[in-house]
Amino acid sequence: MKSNFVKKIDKAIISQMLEDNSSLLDSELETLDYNINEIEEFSQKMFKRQSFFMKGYINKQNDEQLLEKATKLLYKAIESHIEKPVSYLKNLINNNEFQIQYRNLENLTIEEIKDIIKDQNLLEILEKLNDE
Amino acid sequence: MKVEKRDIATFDEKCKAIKTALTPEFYSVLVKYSIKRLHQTFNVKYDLRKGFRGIMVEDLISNTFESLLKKDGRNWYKDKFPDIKQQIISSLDSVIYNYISSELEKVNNIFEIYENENIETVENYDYEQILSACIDILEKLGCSDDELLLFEPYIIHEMKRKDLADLFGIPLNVITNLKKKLDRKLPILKIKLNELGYEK
Repeated sequence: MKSNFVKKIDKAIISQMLEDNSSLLDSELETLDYNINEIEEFSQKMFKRQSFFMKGYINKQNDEQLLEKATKLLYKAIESHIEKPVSYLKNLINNNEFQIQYRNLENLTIEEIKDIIKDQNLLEILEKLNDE
Repeated sequence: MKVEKRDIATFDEKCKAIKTALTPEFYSVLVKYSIKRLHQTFNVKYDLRKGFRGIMVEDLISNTFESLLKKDGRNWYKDKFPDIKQQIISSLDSVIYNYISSELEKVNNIFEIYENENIETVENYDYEQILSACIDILEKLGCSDDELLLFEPYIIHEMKRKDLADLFGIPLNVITNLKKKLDRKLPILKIKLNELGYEK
């Protein structure tokens, strides 16, 4: 376990590194025999790849968060017998291949609700649920 | 015991801040920091093409971002790091440490991380003891008396430059210069403290 003291030094190093815009890092790496131009070139190349990947990852995480949220709201709506969300879910079930599997909404688990709504427009579902 | 309420960012706040922070310049800082950390802490001379035993810095960086974004992943403590870049670097530091430590452990290859043969592990130390160790190291690194004077309030107590200028009656621009000189010695100070076992 690092001491708080060392953590404070770490924090100061990080702040200084960001303020200084990497010139100190460059000189430290040069003394360790690294080629800064080569690292810069490598970083630029990797940045393009990683920023593209990050955007995709953030979107995926966003979708998962929306799915979690919508599922929980629908689950609560079923429990509380709120009419519109329940009929919306019934429609979804009736209009796809799940109709045989889920006849009784009250028996649906969180995971089953997720399965049913995962390919739907989650923002639209959330809007509808929030209106209720 | 007093429990402090932390200011932890929401998922949306993390996403928004990461999107803004991720620029080519910052990415380059992350690559350089990783290489430096690998070299100084683990004695690894990093090869940009081959990586280190299959571990690539770009993967360490990407894992850091993922760890901040995934469900139940790392938090962004806004009270500690108001700028998410600070949190990202701190998280990257942990990711590097965890990956490399477990890799070195896995192959049962005990590296002599530092040349110092008599590493003394210090488990219980008090504030005065570690402060005194820091001052000793900084003196050996050639710090002036003014730099030494600044170390405790500036680094440990995180006082603002303006407050330090008022406290010591030193002009703000002089404080800024002293701070820059002191900042340059911090990475070496950290390594030396590690050698003395203060980071165990």
